[in-house]
Amino acid sequence: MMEVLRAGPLATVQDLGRRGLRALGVGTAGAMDELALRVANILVGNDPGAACVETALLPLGVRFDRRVRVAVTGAVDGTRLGDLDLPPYWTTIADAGVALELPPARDGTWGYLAVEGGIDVPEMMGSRSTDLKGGFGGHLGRSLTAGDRLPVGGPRGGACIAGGRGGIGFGVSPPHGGAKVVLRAIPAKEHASFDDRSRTSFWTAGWTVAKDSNRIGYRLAGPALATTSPLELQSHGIVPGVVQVPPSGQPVVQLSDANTCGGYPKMAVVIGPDLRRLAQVRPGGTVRFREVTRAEASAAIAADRAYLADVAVAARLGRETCP
Amino acid sequence: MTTGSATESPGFVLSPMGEAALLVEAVGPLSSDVQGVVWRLAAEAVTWSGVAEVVPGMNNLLLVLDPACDFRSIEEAIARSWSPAGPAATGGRDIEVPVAYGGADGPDLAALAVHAGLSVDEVVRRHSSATYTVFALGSHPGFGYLAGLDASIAMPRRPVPRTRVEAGSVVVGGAQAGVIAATSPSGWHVVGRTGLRFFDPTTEPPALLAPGDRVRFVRRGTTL
Repeated sequence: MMEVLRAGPLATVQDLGRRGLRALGVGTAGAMDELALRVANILVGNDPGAACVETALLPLGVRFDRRVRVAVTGAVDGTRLGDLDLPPYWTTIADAGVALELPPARDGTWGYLAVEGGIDVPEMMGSRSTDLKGGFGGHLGRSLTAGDRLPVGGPRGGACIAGGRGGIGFGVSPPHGGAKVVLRAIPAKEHASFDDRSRTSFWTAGWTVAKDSNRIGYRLAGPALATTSPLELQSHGIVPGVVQVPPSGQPVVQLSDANTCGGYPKMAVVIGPDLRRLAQVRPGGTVRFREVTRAEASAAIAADRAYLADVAVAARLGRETCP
Repeated sequence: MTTGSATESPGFVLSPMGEAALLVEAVGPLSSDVQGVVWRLAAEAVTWSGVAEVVPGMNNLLLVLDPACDFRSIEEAIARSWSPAGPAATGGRDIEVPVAYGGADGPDLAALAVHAGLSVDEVVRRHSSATYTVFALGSHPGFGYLAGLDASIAMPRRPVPRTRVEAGSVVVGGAQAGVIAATSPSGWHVVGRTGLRFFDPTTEPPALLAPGDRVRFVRRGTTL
């Protein structure tokens, strides 16, 4: 059992999200930084897609009623376990009753807490992710709040519990790509319907992430984009990553809680591996777009997969050698 | 700068949506016959290797794919399976939706009347006298895209979507109608409100509506 001591409105239970229900209007939900969630799980010996606590911008505090292995990844720094530091992308043992405190990160947005055994809330329609829009999944379909008590799955074979504080964390931080976030994107159906100036602006301007960005999508502020003539499209299925341009001319990038259908003109689609890089940019931060091909997207997916395989090896070695 | 490639074939246009999805859009005005073609293609495509999900829209179909699959072979399969001639869709249920129009329940009703050049009462009469067909579910859990809106009360979506529209809001967006099933952002115009629940994750099926159902809005009152 995990007890929540404090949590902000963006703290929810998330896994890799729901699949196969878009035709009912049910989107994926799931982690905003999928890679960070996978690494957190690997570090504690879980399946990479086990449910974690996702938190953002406000402190998260929890404690457990038994000894468990924990890991924190994503936008976290200054995590304290009792009077000890827990660096990001490390794992250690939390003793029963000791408070684990994740203060807001100084940089980035979404942080992850994985617990050995996973957050064992009931699966709903194939996932433990919280669907905030639908109000189901995760813990009672809502954000976490102080006093919530969440079930934790049973210990997994192979994780080193006996060694006490043994940390595993060598070199597993994901590649960040530097302070400038350049999002790789593939032109979409209506790309050619935008006027020349708008297309040039889209691919060259710096775009500021707006304050009213959220798990549904990030709104970007910059030069106004316009199609050569007004387009009223039939509603059609969309996926996270689609860059829609409503008549305001300010693009919106769809993310984990995106609607399953939309009707605004689509300028481009951010490739899957770069969604987490956008998600971690704070309101007020700047991003740019770079045009890529499907082949380049495949290479980026392969690079993420190779990184995760390296993490799995490092985590296994760490568990084998921990005291 | 290259543009999003769109492949035209008789009856439909194909376009990639990122590295892992293909959109099939019918050419021409919105029609029930074409929607039958979309439903049939969806039923076939969901069985194809490399296809993870099929998402019917309004006279269009999104295929969510394994990014490693061969797009070309999927495109060829679509061309083979797109058959305008086929059995008409049958079945479907009749669903009545009680609506309180206007006032705080329908803050955009007056603006829609101005846009249409009609009285509020006439807009309500036209909205509530049509029989709508559920073409597809989407946007958010349980939301049905309804075809059959009287063309005289169509209105382009809002320039800036509202960040929060309450569940039960009866809405018009372009030439489409619907009812917001879960409180969410929306760029559609809110003309009224219903107490009917359109999505319950604990029931099977969780959605009240299904493609092919017929919907009627029944006036329970109008506030100016």
